[in-house]
Amino acid sequence: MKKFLKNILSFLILLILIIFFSDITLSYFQNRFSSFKLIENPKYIILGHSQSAMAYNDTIISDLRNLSDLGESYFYTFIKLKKILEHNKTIETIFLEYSSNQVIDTMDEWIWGFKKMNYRYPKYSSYMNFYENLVLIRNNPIDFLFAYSSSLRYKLEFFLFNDLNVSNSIGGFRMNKTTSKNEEIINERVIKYESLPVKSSKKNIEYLIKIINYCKELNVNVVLISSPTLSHNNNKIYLRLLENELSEVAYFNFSEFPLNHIYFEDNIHLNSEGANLISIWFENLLKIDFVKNQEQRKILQEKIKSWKKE
Amino acid sequence: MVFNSLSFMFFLPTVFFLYWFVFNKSLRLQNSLILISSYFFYGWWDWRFLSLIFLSTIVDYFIGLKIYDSSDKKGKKSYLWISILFNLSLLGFFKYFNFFIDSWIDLVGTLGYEHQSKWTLNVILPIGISFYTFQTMSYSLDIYYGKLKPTKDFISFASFVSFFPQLVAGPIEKARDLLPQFFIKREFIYKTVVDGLRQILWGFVKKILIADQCSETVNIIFNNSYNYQGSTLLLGAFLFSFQIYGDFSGYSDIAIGTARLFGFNLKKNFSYPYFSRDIGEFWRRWHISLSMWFRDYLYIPLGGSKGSKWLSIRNIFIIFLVSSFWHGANWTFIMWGLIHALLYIPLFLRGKNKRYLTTVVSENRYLPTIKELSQMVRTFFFTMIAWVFFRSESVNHAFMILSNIFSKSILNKPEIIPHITILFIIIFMIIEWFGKNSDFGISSIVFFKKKIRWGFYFILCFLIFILISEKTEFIYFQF
Repeated sequence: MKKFLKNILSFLILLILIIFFSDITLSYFQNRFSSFKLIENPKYIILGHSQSAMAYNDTIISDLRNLSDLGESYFYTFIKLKKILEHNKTIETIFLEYSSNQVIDTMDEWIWGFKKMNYRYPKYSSYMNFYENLVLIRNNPIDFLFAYSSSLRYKLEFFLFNDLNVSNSIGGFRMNKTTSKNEEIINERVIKYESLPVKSSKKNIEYLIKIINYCKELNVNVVLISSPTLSHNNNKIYLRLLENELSEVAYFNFSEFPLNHIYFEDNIHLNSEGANLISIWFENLLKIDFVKNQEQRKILQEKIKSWKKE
Repeated sequence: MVFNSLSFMFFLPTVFFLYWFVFNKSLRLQNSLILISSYFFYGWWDWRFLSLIFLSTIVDYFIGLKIYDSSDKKGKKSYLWISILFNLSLLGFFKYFNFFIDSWIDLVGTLGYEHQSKWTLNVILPIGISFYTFQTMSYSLDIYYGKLKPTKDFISFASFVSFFPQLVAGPIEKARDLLPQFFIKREFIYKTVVDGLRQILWGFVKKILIADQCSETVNIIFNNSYNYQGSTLLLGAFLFSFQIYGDFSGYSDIAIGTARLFGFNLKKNFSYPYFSRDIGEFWRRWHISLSMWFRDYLYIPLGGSKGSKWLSIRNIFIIFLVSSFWHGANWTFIMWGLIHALLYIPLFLRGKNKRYLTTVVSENRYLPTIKELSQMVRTFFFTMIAWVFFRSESVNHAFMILSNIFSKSILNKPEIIPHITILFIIIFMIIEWFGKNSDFGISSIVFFKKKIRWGFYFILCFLIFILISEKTEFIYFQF
């Protein structure tokens, strides 16, 4: 029995060491050799989740790259952003999606829920620090193990097969091909406005602030943007943050952009026609160097209203 | 609880520790621990269905005693029928009720009478019901045939019925083989326990490195079969053959290995079936415990091959049909069984069904002869074609796949080629080939030096760890 226990313990310890050592080596390799270099050398990038991913067509907007990714929380955006800025010195401004659903507690699920973590952790674990790992372990230790195992596989595949430039797999404009002009179908899809819970996602808000501070340190402008929606559900937390912690941050609010149902895929996502429309308008806004204007919030609302009349 | 889950990773060492260090004072205590652990193991999935196992246990426990105590044959037979009817009713209600109702409605529909089903029930199929009902039935049958004496020790009997390593997906143990082991003092034997762990490891290799890897491509191909050409569909059938083998035999290996950790010996359930030289040999190597169950409790009582040729053919058909129906209430399984029966009968008629009763292919050689190779390829090909029915959603779907496979498009390059999976299959089959004379693929690794052995285990464990990322279940749980 003693022999058995001794052997099984030694085997397990060695196995754990091998796994850790492999992880450290592969992470080092990925961190050292992967490139986030954007070939277009853009001045602007857009980060956020599906709303911004489907709203801004970066083939229409010059000097801009949309790197938003579906289901991405600020936690992972921050890790991604650090690498993007490290490899792209031409970036002057970051447009960061700020919508009401990004500050509520459902975002916790987007950080450490099984599906989201199992997809995103493998992608970004090589660039994460100890604290960021700890956030995930503390909140969902069991599923973290699955994500950890996936990350090892991901790193091994990267080591063996992948293109070193990862900039094409970290997000991008998503064209919504299910465009329909049939208003009835579209209206059916529109989910009726329902009051969202007002419990906040402390971790996601913490990383939103981190993104802003990090950009400040690097002298990169941060502009919060709210993409057009049909359900204008500005919950209390979202509004409170705008008035307090984010009051100094430039903010483009397109959420009440007067677009008809036909430009939407559902209540919060634009379809490709809507995206093209808003992208042309956004392109014009960038041309007049609106980013640096002090009175942006006020002027913007007027511009949106005037667009309705055009 | 499933074997490839974190909960089982905690459960197994805990029970193992308690079994050998805390409850090792007496056999009764150890059996009680097995019973509690087994109920916990099953209840982890859905505690409500524990009542079914308990009911089945109670009924067969008392019926076993009654059969033994009955002085006349008629009385014994009556009690046996109660046991059989009870277990089959349980199985029939949960597994086959909807099938018969829906089939009846379909039949009536084809005659022009449209019917809406009012009888179809929304019931969940309790995991492993086909396995444990058969195991308890074997108890009554063994007592009836005088091959076993009933036990009065309820704890041991209940432990036998619910023994967690093989509770949900077999091997189906005959009472006369497993129950007596609950009355023998178990001792910790280093070699047996390590061998058990080795078999568990090999089971995980089969499940995670082979079955789960194959399943990704198989699902894509079979779920979109209308979009793929013959060569891709053939690849899908090929991969499914390995998926089902890896999945089911992997589970059996884990079950047998786990049982060995606790000092129990379960019967071998798979013996390198894809190295079979004909269908007869295949069925002696595939799901052996079920084949043996049907042979002992159905085929032989029906007369086996002792009667006239026609009677024997009838018995063979019955066995294959019942066996296929056991897998599930679907016409696809019945077609699968029918194909195997049609492949087996010509062998039987020519008296060649028992050609390879005791020998293993290329027993003392590294490589097979051309003849052996062609026999193995042919047998594998036929079983692979039959697997198409097993995997398809309907019989029509299977025929559509087969008609596309046997078309000109079979000569085109497949649209999907999972290189890594194919590499895994090749390495796996090479290991199995060299291990085919022993109990499981890597059992002969003991002859290598410790450093080589451990290096090999580390590679396997590492691969298992990085590929276990998805939460998958075993195919045979649904049966």
